[in-house]
Amino acid sequence: MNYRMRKDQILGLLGRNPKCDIKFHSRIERMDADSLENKNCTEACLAHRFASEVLSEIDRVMAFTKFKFSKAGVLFGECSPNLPVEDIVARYFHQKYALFVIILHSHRGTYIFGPEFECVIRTSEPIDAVMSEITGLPGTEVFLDLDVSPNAWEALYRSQYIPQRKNLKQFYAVLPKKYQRLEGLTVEKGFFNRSLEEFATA
Amino acid sequence: MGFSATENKIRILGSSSKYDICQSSSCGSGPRPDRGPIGAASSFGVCKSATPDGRTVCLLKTLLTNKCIHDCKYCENSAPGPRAEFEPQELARLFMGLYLQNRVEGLFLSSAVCGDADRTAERMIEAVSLVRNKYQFGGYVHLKVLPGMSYEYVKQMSELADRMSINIEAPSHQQLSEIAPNKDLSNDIIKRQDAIREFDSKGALSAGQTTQLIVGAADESDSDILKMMEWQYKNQNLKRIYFSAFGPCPNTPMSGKKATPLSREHRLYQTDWLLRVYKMPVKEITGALGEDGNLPNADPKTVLAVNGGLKPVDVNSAQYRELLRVPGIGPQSASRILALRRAQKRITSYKELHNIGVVLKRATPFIKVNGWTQARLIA
Repeated sequence: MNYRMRKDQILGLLGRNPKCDIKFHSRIERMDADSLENKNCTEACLAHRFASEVLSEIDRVMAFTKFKFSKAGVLFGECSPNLPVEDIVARYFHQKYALFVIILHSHRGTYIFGPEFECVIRTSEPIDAVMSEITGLPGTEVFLDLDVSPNAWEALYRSQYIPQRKNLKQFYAVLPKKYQRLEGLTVEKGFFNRSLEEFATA
Repeated sequence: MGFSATENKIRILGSSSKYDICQSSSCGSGPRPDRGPIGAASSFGVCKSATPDGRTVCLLKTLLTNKCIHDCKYCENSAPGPRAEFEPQELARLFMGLYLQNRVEGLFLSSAVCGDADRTAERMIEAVSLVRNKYQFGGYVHLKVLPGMSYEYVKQMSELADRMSINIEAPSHQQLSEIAPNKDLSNDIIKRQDAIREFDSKGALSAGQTTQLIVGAADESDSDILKMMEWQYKNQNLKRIYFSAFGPCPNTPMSGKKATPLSREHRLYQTDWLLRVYKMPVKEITGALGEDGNLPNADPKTVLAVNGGLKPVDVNSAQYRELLRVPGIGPQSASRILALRRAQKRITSYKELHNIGVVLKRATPFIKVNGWTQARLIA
């Protein structure tokens, strides 16, 4: 985390983390702002960690949600956050794509937010039913001629790699762990990630 | 136009632009209110997809064309190979499509000089105008200025871009002429930088001006680069300088030259950080240089502290500038220590310093806690 969180921000985020119980929350509430914001004690550090877990989850969902564009001026995407942050993410995407209605679908329901909405709407209706109720929005007609193939991104991604600068250590540092187990991606075995059996057979 | 043609162009032109270094859009100071409602230039971005070289892809980084009149000895565009050119409309549609899918967070557009710098600039401006005006995109756009481009086109670009840059490539006239015989440092590059600085000072560029340098192509020393960095930051008001370690491209006149070690690039970035963020004067940083004028392969801040015989400082009484000189204490940790001091809280243990964010393995020989210091450097 590169910026200093204020006390009210930390308290707001703690409420979204199930690891933080009411007693801990009230202790943090009573803590003075200087100690909390500058991580002067173990509890302050723990509060920062819980808050940053929520922030990381928000960041992750913002980064990983990929949208499809409907002709009705709707951007719809699916996400799977571990913490309840969909409403914050929907508001963020609305800020980013101000002309569009944003529909986010997760295991907690479907979240809708867009122009002229006062708050994020959460519904348990399936995404298709929600989509059919939204008609064309003014200002989005110009985007109808966009028709980018999914392979365009793949081509861009592949074009950016410089083989002479191959740096797998940095690559795995940037890549989330769960994607390191995908088929075709193997982690090179070093001293610390080798099992005893592998040492024996080597 | 079919997808395969566009994809082929991405493959060719994206690959030609991969040596250009740029940051994500988060470096912008915020979207300008006069720009469109689509796009955020200063907040969380998209998923930064990692490539096996450890860099990430988060911008549509491409050239408009890779047909070039220059014959720079190091450049991939001067070698024989496939050539392509985007149509402005095609590029604008591709970018907006990827942006709405949340795959990229901005546009980085550069180009080789095809026939005439002004003609190429005109097409670059046309593409970005479409993105800005037709699709109302208010997010991050980084435009490369081409050597030899007219002042009028630089002005037009500054009205559309958040960040502009022109590659300086080498630290001196002579060194540039060795690797790029057609380019003149003063006329082709510095004059364009002056123009960009002029528009930047009027507030046209929210993310300012940058430049890029190829390290090791012209056999320059780190001392030459440091001098150039100081001059650039002082006179051109740059946001930052990017370094790219030279790697030989096949079928170019410099294909036989040895590649520059990536560690040299890393040490230059660390030095740049001392200059730009810590505001350390160059005179002081030159203390880290070896006899051959190059940086040793070690953290320059630690080298400076060891060479300069830095005495241990008391964390409860040292000033901000004194704390900043300590390896392992950065601006954020230093300001946290001062904030605690203002709140009448004394630091009494290494654990507290660790919680604050101080890197103890580097800092301990240079700090005193409770009047006690550890004399050995663990790093």
